[in-house]
Amino acid sequence: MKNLKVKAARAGKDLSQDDLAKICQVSRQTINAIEKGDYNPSIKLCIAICKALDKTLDDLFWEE
Amino acid sequence: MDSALLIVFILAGVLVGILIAIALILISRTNHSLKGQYDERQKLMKGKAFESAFYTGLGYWLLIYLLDLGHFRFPVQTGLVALIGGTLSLIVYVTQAVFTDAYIGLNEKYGRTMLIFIVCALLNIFPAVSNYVNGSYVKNGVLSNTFGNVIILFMILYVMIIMTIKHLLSDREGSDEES
Repeated sequence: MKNLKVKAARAGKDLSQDDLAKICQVSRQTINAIEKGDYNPSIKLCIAICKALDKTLDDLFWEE
Repeated sequence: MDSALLIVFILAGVLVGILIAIALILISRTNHSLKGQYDERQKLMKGKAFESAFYTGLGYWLLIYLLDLGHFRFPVQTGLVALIGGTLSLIVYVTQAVFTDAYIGLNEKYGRTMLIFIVCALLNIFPAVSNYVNGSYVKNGVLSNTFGNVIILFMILYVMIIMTIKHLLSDREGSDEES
């Protein structure tokens, strides 16, 4: 399932996938895979993404 | 030539090859480190690629063993049989790693990596051509170990081609995602 929340939060901060990848110290393809729902990140990477986008884990990774 | 002397020459060649490889890696990586940096997804994908390569190698050697049991003899020197098995495994590993975006690390760049492969290809072209000119590929109807340079050359060219294809596809995918 696609993670549109990460994509929206990233777009909201006007960051490209490459920008977010550099902040989180991962490859652009990894951010792309997370947004497409092809990869489930570790809690460590989830936290790094949340910090980079000023969001909480619930905001980005909790499914209702 | 004395076989002991031949082993010394081979070891010297391997040592020079390792030194050249170390120099190329240090030059190519953005932080000039010998160690490649990969994120968690890339490590996972590399692990899966290594697994595929392992089973490919296992299958290859099992096939060779069964053919040997059946007294089937290849018109190929033993060293070359081993090299073909290793090359097959490497090709499976690289293909899977490249197409899951796990081959090029965070401290590597496509252009620099390609430059390394071009240098490696050039280093292999000279002995390959020299062996061809000397007519040393086939001895007594058996493909000799000197043909190994051609196999390595083929592998390098293959890796360069699939890396380029993946690079072009990733560029397109990246621009689609940003738009």
